[in-house]
Formats: sequence, C-alpha cells, structure tokens
Amino acid sequence: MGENGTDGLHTQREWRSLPERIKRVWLLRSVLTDTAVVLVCAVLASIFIASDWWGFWQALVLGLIAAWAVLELATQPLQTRYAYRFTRFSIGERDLKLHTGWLFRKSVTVPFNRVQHVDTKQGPLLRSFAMTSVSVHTAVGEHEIEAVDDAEAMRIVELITSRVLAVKEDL
Amino acid sequence: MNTAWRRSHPVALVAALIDSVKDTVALILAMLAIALPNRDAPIVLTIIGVVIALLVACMLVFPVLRWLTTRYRLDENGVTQRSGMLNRKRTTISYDHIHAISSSSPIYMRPFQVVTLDITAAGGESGITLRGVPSSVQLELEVARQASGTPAGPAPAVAAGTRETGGQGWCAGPVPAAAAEDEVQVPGGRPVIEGELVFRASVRDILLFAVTDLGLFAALIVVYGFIEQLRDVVPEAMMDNAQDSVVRFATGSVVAFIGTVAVVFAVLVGASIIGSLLRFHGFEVWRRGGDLVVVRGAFTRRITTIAVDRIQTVAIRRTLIRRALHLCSVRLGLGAVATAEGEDADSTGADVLPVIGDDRVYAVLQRMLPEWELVPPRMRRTGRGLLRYYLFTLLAVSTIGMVGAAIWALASGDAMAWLWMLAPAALMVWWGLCRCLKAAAEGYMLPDGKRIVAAGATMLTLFTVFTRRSRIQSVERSTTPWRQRRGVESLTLPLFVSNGINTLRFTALRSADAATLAAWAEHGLVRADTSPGRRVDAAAGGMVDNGYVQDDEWRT
Repeated sequence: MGENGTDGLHTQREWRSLPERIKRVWLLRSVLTDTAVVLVCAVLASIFIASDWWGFWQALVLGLIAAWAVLELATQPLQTRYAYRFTRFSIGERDLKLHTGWLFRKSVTVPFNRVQHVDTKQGPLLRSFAMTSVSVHTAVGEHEIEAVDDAEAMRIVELITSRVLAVKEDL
Repeated sequence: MNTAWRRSHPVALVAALIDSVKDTVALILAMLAIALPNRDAPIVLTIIGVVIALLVACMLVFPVLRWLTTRYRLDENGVTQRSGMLNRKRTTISYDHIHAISSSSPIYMRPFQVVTLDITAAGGESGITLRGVPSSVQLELEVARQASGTPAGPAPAVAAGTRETGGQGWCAGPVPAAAAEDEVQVPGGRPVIEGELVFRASVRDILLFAVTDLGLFAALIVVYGFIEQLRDVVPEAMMDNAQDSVVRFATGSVVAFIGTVAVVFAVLVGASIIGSLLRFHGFEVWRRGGDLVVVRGAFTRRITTIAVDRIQTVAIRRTLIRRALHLCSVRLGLGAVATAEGEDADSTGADVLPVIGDDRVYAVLQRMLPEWELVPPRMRRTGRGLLRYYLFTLLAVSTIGMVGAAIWALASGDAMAWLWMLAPAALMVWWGLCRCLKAAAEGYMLPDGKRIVAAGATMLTLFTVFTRRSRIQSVERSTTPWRQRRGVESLTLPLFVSNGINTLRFTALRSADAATLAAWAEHGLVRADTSPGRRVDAAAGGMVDNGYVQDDEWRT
C-alpha cells in the first residue's frame, strides 16, 4: 500500500494509496450520477415535446448533456484506474500532502501549523464499504483524504491532531 | 477595569429611530398609494389603516426594545455584547482575537462625545458593533488588546485638540506627543493620536485619487440606473420627450455633442471630487506602538486601529489610469474586514495609502511598517515564454462561442444573426488583453526564508503583494499530463485575507519555479537566483543541481 519518496528535502516520506474498495465507490457514484443526468434529460425532453416546445436548441443542449453523461459513464472504468493510481496521501512530520485527479492533477501540501481542525465524514456509499473520509481544515479551506478504513480514519485523525499540536506556531 | 454591564448613550436610540423611520417610510408611502385610489372602499381603507398602524408601532417599538435590551461589557478576557428579549444573543470577542477596531463619529454624535465602534475578529467570527458608546471605550479596548499579548509598545493614548505638523503629503519624523488624556475626540476638534504621524494626505493627493478613481466611471451606470428608475414614477410620455430633447440637442452639431460629453464628464469628476474630499478629509496614518491608526472623514470622522501583527499582506495596486500617472494605492490585507459603521466595504481603514506617487510609496511604507522591510522588489517573471498556456482556455471558449453563434445563424437563416459572432470575438480580445498582461506581470521574489513578494494582474490592474510564509495556508500545484511533459504547472498559495487579494496565483510557471516556491512555502528554503544577494546554503537547505534537490511531486 505504502511507498517511499522524498519530500523535496533529503528526508524520506511514505506515500499511501486509498483502499482498493474506493474504485467501486467511484464507479457506483458515477453510475448513480450519470444515470440521474440522463433520466433528467429524458424527462425534460418529454415535457418539452408534450408542451410543443421542442426545437433545434433544446435538442442540441439536452443531447450534448446526455451524450456527455453517457461518455463519462462509458469511460469511468478507465478514469477510475488512472485516478486510483494518482490519488495518494502522505502524512509527514510537518505537513500533509495529497495528490488527486488523473487528467487535471492536483497536489496539495497543508503544513500542520496552518490546520484549524480535522473532521471525518461518512456518506451512505462510504458507510456501505466501511470507509470514512478525513477532512483537514485551514483558515481558508478544506482538504480531504477521500477514503480510508473506518479504524484507520480515527488513527489518522489522532496522528494529525498530535502532529498539529507538536508543530503549532503562532499565526 | 470597570466590568459592569453598560448601556449605550440615548443618542444611539435616536439614530436607530431615524434609521427605522427611513426603512419604513417607503413601505408606508406605498400603502398610502394603494389606499388613495381605493378611498371609496371601506374594507381596503381599514386593512391598510391597520397595516400602517402596525408598521408605525414596529418602527417605534423595535428600536426602543433593542436599545433597552442591549448591553456591553469589557472584562478581563474580552468584550461582550448581549441583546434581545425573546431571542437573546450574546457575542464575546476575546481581546487577543481582535483584528481591528474602527470608530465612526457622525456629526450628531460629536456633541455627546460618543462614537460607533466596530470590533472585528478573525474570518468567520462575528464582529461586534457598539453604537453610541463613549469615545474612551476605544482606548480601553486598545489598551486591553495590547495587554493581551500583542507586541510591546507604548500604551495607546489619544489627546484632545488640534496639532499641526506642517508636512506636505507625509511627515517624516516623529511628532512630539501632546498631553495624553482618556479622550479620543473633542467636539469640533480633530483627534490627535500619540505616536508617529507617517502619512497625511494633502488636498492634491485627494484630488488625484478622485480623478483616477475607477468609481468615477461606475457612477455613469448609477446615473443610468437612476434614470431608468425614474421611468417607474414619471409619465412615460414626459420621459420620452425629455430623452428626445436631450438626444436632439446632443446630436445637433459636433460642438453640442462635445459640449454634452464634456458636461457629463465634468459632473462626474465634480461628484467624485466632492465624495473623495468628504471621505478622505484629514486622512492621516499614525504609527503607535504595535498599532496603525488610520483617521479620515469630514462629516463622519472615522478612526481605525489595526494591530500590525495581524496584517497578513501589504498590496500595492496600480490601475491602468494610475499607472500612466506613476501613481499607486496600498491596501493592508487583514483576516477581518475593518469597515467602520456606514463605510463602503471597498474603501476601509485598511486602505492606508489611497493614492501616492510611485517614487514615494516605499519610503512611506518603510516608516509605516518598518518590520516588513518593504523595498522595491526585483521580480522573477514566471509567465515569460508561456503565453500560450495563458491563452489556450480563452481561445477554446471563444472558438466554441463563435462556432455556436455560426450554427445558430445558419439554423435561423437570419443574416443579422451572424453579428452574434462579434460577442465571443470581443470577449476574446478583452480577455486576451488581460491574460497577456497577467502573463507579463506574474512573478515572485523570495528575499529570505520568511518573506515573499508576488506580482500579478487582475483585469488591467497590476499588483504587488508582500507577505510572509506564516500567512500561506497551503501549497496547491496543478497540472495536466501534457503540461507535465513540458514541465509547466500552475501554483496557488491561499492566504487568510478577507479584504482583498487572498491568493498568490501563478497561472502558468515552469516546474523548477513551482518547486522553488513549494520548497520555500513548505520548508523556508530559497534559491540564490530568486533571492538577490543571498548565498546558497547547500548543507542546510540541500540546494543542489538546479537549486532544488529533486522534485518528485508528480511521481506516481
């Protein structure tokens, strides 16, 4: 699960991937969202046709949205594969690093002395797969480890909290 | 310290009643407007009469109840305000959480020596507004805040009376302190603050501000909106006649046209000058221990006290017009908005230099904030050679827009529909101009491991922001696989600022620069070529090869 790398200094830090089960969560989430989008497009199209308000532009806009949703769903297994490969996190001595995205890649470093509080979240999908997300809040934003095992989430919260206390400086 | 609960001065009740009447009178007039055409229908008159009576009762009773139930207290830990009868609200701000204290003293409050105080805390914490409190409360708060752990400095004191320094524009040396008293203001007198007067805006400065303020042109939109609103109350035929007359006159001859434009422009400039003179009359910035005190305003005198250690950024801005005249303005970035009662949020006590010449700005800032060591930076421009990355999105969006317009024109068969292609084309030109300026402006300098200077552009306005590593909340680098192959990324450093530039953003920069900035933000390391006159300490910072050990940020 973990792998080693440098943090830009000479120190080693461990990078960790999310649990494999997150792939199924992403797939399920995509199926639910894209199906809902296609259904909404179908319902709107039915209403427009029934009310005799169906024309080129309505067809173009709804068609593009539905096509986008279908394409997104069709490519989801591939997206999931690459996203899983790139999504990682690392809890260092002084900061938390997150890598997310596969096409639009983002790397975030949150120094522990900027952390205001840490919380956990668990929606129905994550709950059904026994996973929890961990959010780290700074004064201006929130950064999330998307999913870890339930017990691991509690351990991570404690670890981050203790490191925040250890490095906290005056703002 | 007097820790008893205190009530505000009755003048605050009078002010609240006036505000309440102003808020309600339009509604009452609307009710009367409905009643007049229906004066023969008793039921309508009765209902409207009851509604008006209820409105009047609310208009009078609520401010009185609010005044009677509102109390404030200054204790050992902080300032507390409680209010409400049924829904009771209690707000406490501890002294060490206070970011700024702004006082506003309208003419009608001055005879009673009371002010309205706005106490602002960090970010989302709610602030406290104390209306009609003795002016000495501001002093009490400042003393308590400084005693709560802010940097040491002489205890704040404000003396009554008028004191002239005779300086033009700004005063270089410390001003001898007048006798300190526990008063912030005296009736008819100007507040004199014990400390060093570091900037005083002359009438010339205020005039320069007025004629270079972009709000001047925004006033045109306000005037247009006012004329449109007039249509609702003035008969349409009358409005059309008036409009036709003006248009006929203005387009009658070249001289009339030029004359009309000149008159409109002169009126706008005149309005801007009057507004600026009222707002910035007696504008002064004082340095008092660990605080900056900003005093301004003619009819309503406003005093804002800003704790220097709470300053997040110092931003120098140059709009297009001011750039042409070698002028700029300076705003302090704070975690809370330091807006005084009745003040425009776009122009607050944090605007410490509303307008100043480029040649003077750093000298004044060094006197104002010596601990920030503000000097003209030598920037490393990050966007040079990367213009295509700045323009790609806008070209894509504009092209899609133009293709969409073309499809519509073809589908509709209307020749005039082709004109819609001009909209995305115009957008492309405007947006492209802004992005070119951004590409030329974005850059940074790292004077040492704790400070950064970043430059950029917002639309056609250039800015230079000075801040510290401790103010950076996180480091966010982003890229795409195709950009990554070419070693190009974007980088964002969010700041805890509520009143201005709250992010240091580099839209496109080379990975080496991104790595340098990340190393600085995460570990306080600097490369020699980004820090003029600084030697590389390879042992301490691990600076090797291209100035950075190895950047494995995107390794998978």
